[in-house]
Amino acid sequence: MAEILRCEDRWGRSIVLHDDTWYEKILMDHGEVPNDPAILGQVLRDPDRVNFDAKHASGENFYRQGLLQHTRRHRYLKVVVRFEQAIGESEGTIVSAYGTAHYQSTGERRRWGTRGN
Amino acid sequence: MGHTRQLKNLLGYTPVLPTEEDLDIEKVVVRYHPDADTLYVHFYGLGQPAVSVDLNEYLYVRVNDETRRVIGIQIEGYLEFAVRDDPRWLDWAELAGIDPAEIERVRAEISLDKKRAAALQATFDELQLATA
Repeated sequence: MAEILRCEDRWGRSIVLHDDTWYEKILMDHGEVPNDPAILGQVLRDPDRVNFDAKHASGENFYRQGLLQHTRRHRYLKVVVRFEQAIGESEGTIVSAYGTAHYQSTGERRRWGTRGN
Repeated sequence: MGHTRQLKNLLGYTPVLPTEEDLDIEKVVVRYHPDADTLYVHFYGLGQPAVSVDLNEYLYVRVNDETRRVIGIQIEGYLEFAVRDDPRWLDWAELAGIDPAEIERVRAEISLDKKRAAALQATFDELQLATA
């Protein structure tokens, strides 16, 4: 399991993407995600909206419009991140990424960004 | 069972549901990712572009924007939430390659009320089809 991307989110937290998540999950299950892991870093650094996950207390979901392929232009790329606290510093791992029609799924709570639900 | 969102409102069009005639059962792919606890059912094979639209807290429908066709489903929190809310979702577990011992462990933890509700729902679905 090798790192394929390490970047910071808009708050400067370190977030990592592993190759098995990228190749075996995201690319195989989601043909709408372009074959370039750097695009996930773009969502994390400059999101339109960030929500707390509905089910995982340590989870946050980042959304950004207009980055998908073979979908309508206004759709959102959603990047799902789980954070772990390590010696005072929070590090995140990308567990999934996919296209969505909206920037808020059922049960999510807004953390930052575009208002409304 | 969770609140159902309106697909048409979120997509901007009415999606086309797959029919038995246009589904090739050999092409249906079921995958489970334990790290994310996500289960996918791909009706037309892997790698299809689509947007995921949540119907409730765990169930997403995958719809291709170009063809407007529903190409699969995605279940978030599959073993932790979904199958405990509606045990009928467990039907996919073996096909997704989840360890039978793990399936039985989860099945044993599901409340009798949820199992009763699921069995009744399956019965009503059949009756509804028969009387349609």
